[in-house]
Amino acid sequence: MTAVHGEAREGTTSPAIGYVFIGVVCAAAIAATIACVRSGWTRLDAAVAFAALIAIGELLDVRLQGDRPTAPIASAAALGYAMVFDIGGRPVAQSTAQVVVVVAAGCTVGTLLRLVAGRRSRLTSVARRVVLAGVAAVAFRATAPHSLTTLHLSAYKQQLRWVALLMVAVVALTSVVDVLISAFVRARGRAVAFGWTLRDEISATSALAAAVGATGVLTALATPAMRLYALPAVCVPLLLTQFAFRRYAAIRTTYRQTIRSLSRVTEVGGYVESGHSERVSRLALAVGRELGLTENELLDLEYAALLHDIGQLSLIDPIPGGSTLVVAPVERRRVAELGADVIKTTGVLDRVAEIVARQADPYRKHRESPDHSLPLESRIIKAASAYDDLVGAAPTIDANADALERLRLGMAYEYDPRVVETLTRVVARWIEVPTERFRQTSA
Amino acid sequence: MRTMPRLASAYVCVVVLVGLAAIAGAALRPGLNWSEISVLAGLYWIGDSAPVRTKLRSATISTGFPVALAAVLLVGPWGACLVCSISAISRRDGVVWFKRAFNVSQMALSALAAGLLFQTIPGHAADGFSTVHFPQVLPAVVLAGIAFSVLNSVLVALVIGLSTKLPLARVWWGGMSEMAAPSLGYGLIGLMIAVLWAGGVGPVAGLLVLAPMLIARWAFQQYAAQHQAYEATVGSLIQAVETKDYYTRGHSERVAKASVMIAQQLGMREDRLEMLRYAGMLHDVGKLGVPTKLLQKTGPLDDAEFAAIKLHPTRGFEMVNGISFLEEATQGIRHHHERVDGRGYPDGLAGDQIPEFARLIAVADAFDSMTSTRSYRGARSVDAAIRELTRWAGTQFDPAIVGALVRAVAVHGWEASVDATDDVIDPTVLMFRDHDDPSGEVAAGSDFATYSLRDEQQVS
Repeated sequence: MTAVHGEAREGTTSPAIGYVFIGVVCAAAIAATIACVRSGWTRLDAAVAFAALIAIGELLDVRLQGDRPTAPIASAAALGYAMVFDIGGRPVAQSTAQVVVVVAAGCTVGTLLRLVAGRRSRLTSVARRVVLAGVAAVAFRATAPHSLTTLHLSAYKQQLRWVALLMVAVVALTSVVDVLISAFVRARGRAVAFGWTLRDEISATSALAAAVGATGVLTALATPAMRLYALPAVCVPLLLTQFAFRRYAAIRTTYRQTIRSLSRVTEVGGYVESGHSERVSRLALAVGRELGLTENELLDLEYAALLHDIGQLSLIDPIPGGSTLVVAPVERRRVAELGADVIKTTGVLDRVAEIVARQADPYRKHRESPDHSLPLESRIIKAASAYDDLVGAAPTIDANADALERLRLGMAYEYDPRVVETLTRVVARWIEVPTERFRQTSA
Repeated sequence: MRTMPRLASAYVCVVVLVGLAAIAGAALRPGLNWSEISVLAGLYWIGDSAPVRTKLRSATISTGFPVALAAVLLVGPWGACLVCSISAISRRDGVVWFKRAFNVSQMALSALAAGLLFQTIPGHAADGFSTVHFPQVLPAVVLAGIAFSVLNSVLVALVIGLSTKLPLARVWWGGMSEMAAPSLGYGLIGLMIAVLWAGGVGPVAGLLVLAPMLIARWAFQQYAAQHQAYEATVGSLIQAVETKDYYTRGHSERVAKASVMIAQQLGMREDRLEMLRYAGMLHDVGKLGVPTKLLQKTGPLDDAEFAAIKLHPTRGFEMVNGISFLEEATQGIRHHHERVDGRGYPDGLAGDQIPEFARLIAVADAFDSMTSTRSYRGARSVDAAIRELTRWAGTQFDPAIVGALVRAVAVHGWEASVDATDDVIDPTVLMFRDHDDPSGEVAAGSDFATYSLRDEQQVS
């Protein structure tokens, strides 16, 4: 599948911690290769077949929710190779080191093939596959009965169902380790972010991971009877699964692109400044992520931010400059409610409609305590939209300082202090590490 | 059952009776492995229940077939016959009792026949599939699988053919050609269940093989739900946009419908039809890119202002260009105001240079405008609109597409919009006067009046 650029989000790329992880995996693979060269190889034909399947699997990737590239066939083959104990009635006892080498070789070849085809790989995801296989190999060898890799199949045929259950347990354990590693890398090693990243990781990947795990177990169990013919055969159900997940991923991408396009309606209509919705959604997302919203909440936030000005379409005269900041609060609230009405008619974006409806509400009314029913997302959009109105499309450092000052003045009444603080932090980071936004000014 | 022709009812009765007899006979046979049969029946039930209906052709996920085939291999013809009878209590709702009975019977009979065939083939796993010689066992399994699905499709095609009176061969081939590829995959899956099961893994094998398929089913459900949400969202946002600002309610929706009707007459592929529908729905979205004051201006427009209005197809294209899934549709939006004689806009393309989608939408667009009621004029009759379109076929419209529209309307009829009379001031009056008529001299007349006048101006 071609890379779904629309889904790429800031904050999911792997910084330093990712490189450390990749480095460790590479070192382990090299050490394993040295060990293998010294001790010799077991069943080279099987090793090559599995490595080839892993390489092909790398090419057949699926992008899961929240920009998570996975390669189900490659992962399943890696798991399978970690637990293969018999091929065609002859026991095989490949070492853990050989498992690591074969999987790493398959992944490397697959990644290179992708490069040739002009498609990039997320290296942390590829490295995770090697770890996955290594952990499975160690766990299986530690728990499986010794007879499995020494005796002929007929000697323990009656125990095979218990071996199957053991493999399921090994795969389950491995998946847990894998999810933990992934969440840790995505959270950039920050303890605060780890909790919610883990939760997102589990909800996004567990279904496909279960299918992959089952196929891995299946591969290891099928080789005694079906020999290496098992490899293509076990891929059939998984390919179906993969197809379904791709369709799902594609429609999600389409949905997102469509909302994004429709958000431009207000801009080409001359109601708001060009690029406003897109910028507000980027800022709102960064703030929302910082405040620990789940991925589903972030998605609603993104849609709401993109569509937050759609209510302006119902106005007869566009607001001068499109900035809702300069009009009376009553008018602002009317725009919010008109927009919410439009969104509500879809029947499926109720949460988004609610966020949009309340984007104009102040954080706190005079002499009242903060309104707890006011969604955090609404407060984020209110602040992000105001900031963008103040600094405009080409912000300078001064404009930025002025804008933040104005937000701070409105803090505690108009704006949620926590949101303004976070927004300040996010913007400060953007200035420090020049993003597209601030690079424009220096150019 | 009363609604079916007599012959079809008789056929259903025969199949049900024979099937029930076979099941009863199977149940009475000695030496059956009841524990394996019941576990397989359980798996079959999981697979057979609630198949997902997706919009994808050939990809309805029923995981029953692999289990049935595995049963054929594992517990023999009579056992498989019993396993299939479990579908009598499947969770599929809304199936009438006699259809349910027929389905149970035809599955049981197909399984029985496939099993008997498998036993007669020499070289198959002689000792009840316990030691499998792979891949030597493949031919026998493939034959059994083919027998299973062919018999299954023949029995079903017969009932459909008899009750609808369509030619039997066509009904059968229609079903079979769609089933062939998935059957092959499912057959392989069934074989895998049998091999692992017999190889000592036991029932866990069934679960392990079915797990990816069940998860696929879940993902398809997610996909279907998301797809529905998408449709609803696009539909209502477009509607909101168009009713708030310019057009009468439902114009985009109807243009989409008419375009698809025409395309079906032209035999367009299913996936392109879907794209076309989106193109029809979004064709005018670029009008939002035209300054409102221009669209609402009552006086005559100068050249610069006309140029701005003529930008709307390009603006629409720019807006939806970011939606990669729309592919071809974006071109349809961009060029829906081109004319086959090359005098349209934005690019002045002529004849076949104009993308097919755009030529289709142009016809559907004009047709719906003419048959819709506007506050400044009544709706033209469908016949009058068709006459008018035919008149301009070859200059403004593609004759083949106008022809297809005529045929489509003859077959399906056309339900024109019926409102807008209570709108006090319809912005379309103002918009229309300007939008389709570069001369600016035509009063707010009908849409086709502008077409014809424009053409006469050229002639004179």
